[in-house]
Amino acid sequence: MTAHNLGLRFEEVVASSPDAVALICEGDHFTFAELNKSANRLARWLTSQGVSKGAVVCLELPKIAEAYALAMACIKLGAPYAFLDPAAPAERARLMLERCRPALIVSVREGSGPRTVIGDAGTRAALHHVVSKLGDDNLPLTSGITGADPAYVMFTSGSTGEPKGVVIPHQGVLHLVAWAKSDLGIGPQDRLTNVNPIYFDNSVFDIYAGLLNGAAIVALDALKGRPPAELVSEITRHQCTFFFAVPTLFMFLDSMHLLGPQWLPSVSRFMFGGEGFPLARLRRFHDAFAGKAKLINCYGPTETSCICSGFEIVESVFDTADGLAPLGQLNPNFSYRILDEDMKPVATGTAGELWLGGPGVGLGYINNPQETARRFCQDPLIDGYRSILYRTGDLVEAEAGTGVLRFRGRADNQVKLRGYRVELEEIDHALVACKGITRALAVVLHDATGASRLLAAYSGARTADSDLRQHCAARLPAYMVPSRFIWLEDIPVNANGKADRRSVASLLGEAVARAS
Amino acid sequence: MTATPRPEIRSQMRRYVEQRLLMKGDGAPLHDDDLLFTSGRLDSLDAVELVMSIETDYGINFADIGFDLTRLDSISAIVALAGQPSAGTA
Repeated sequence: MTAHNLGLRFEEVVASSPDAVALICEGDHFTFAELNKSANRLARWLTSQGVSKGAVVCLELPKIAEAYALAMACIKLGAPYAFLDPAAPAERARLMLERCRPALIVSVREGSGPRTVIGDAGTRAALHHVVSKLGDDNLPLTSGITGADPAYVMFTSGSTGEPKGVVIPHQGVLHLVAWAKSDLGIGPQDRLTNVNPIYFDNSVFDIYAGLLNGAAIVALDALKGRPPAELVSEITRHQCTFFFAVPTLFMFLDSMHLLGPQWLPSVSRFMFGGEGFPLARLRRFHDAFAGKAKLINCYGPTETSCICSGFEIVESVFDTADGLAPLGQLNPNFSYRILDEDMKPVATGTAGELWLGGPGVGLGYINNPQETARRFCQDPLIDGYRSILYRTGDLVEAEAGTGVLRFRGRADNQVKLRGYRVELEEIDHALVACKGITRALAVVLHDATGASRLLAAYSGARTADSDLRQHCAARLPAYMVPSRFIWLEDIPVNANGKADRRSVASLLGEAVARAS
Repeated sequence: MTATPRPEIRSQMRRYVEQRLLMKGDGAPLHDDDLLFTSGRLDSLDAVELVMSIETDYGINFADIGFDLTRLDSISAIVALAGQPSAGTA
């Protein structure tokens, strides 16, 4: 690795294979040279709009070619970009924009703040017309960006009731790119799917592990009302070799009889992460592709540059009693500690909280010093110099000798739903904002196959389910809207007078069973 | 658990599916035989919710039907499966 930031690394790839395909999007093919020229022009346009190094640019865009080129333009300027869901409820979008304090918002929808709207063919053409007059050569200032400078901001659910924007440095992503090459063998011969939503952490892998290793990426939408067979045939038509998605999507394709080598013959590696893959379902996936493709389970909090470990699924995984595949060994350049509640290292073979260190650790939450201080902490075992670790909240156990990590639960109320990370408190806050509701608690119930379901209990004014659903949908993304709301006269509290989520979960489990 | 009569299952399922479609901005007409998943009108996230709802309400075990979502691909299909005598004994 010679380049010290993502922009220079991209330019190295462009110089070595300018005519190779970099991006397939909306039916168009863009070579590395074309994508680079487009990014250079957009970087100059961003500068003309007042964007400079260190300023945040919000990209509220779907998977259009401009979205990828703008991200590269920001990278080259050293202006961290934040992809935001263009379909996010207005209130949530407002909270994220407020935290970012962006110098510019490029969006498909109207709204407040310094904003350029490219919502239709006309406005897109107008932007193209403006930028076509600008220089398309590389920008000298890119070399002044260090590996420790911020590359992007990625939002994730927050326990205080609003999403948190994680700031990730260039070096974190450079190490991710290097790992993708050394351990996953990604190179110019590959084509990666970009099925993951662009505003979702997993997309960071698709974009950078692909482009910065000289591979092409194919922009695809798994949702948006498209038949699953069409998604699968598009992956095959574009000869994708690497397919990374959440287990929910792979299980869905399996249930639709579309997850087999006859449907996806070009894919040689499947990777999944973001939530546990129930072993009974993973077994079917593994058997279907035995000898034809590798399956990789990956793990990594958004705060540590997307992925920090991977584990290839082998037969022995199914002999374990814990129901989940191992998280694997940490990638090169990550360090870790497994600590108990007193911040003392746990004995080998005992579960404790995972604290992660190394250059992949993020720079904190944007414009949110309180949350940053809570999670990005000085290594409690070092006091002679600065050593910041990220407290994952994940309880893990390390296998003696190999260092292979196994997931053992959470130290807080964070859950994974359909691959998305959710802080249950964010849902509680949204519900309590509904008129007449005095207390609310969201809980997740699991069934025997490992599938999970989001429910909420509330007290105060008894309210129609449809009103509550509408209220939540106006504040939360769809995957965070509870599927059922159950009124309780009183929310149980623990000895400290705090609402007791565990008691509520067991009450709701009984209530749902009774209702059936 | 008492068996739910078929007409009631039909109306419950219709309400449930229509509600999910509306959340996605899909207000197009819905017929009992319209394909829900094959057509793409319901997606992978809806599948998890629908399966769990059916498991809880009608006692169908998704594993018992081989995790086969094509057996739940229309309102009619769900009603037929939920109305089978074996449903509810799981």
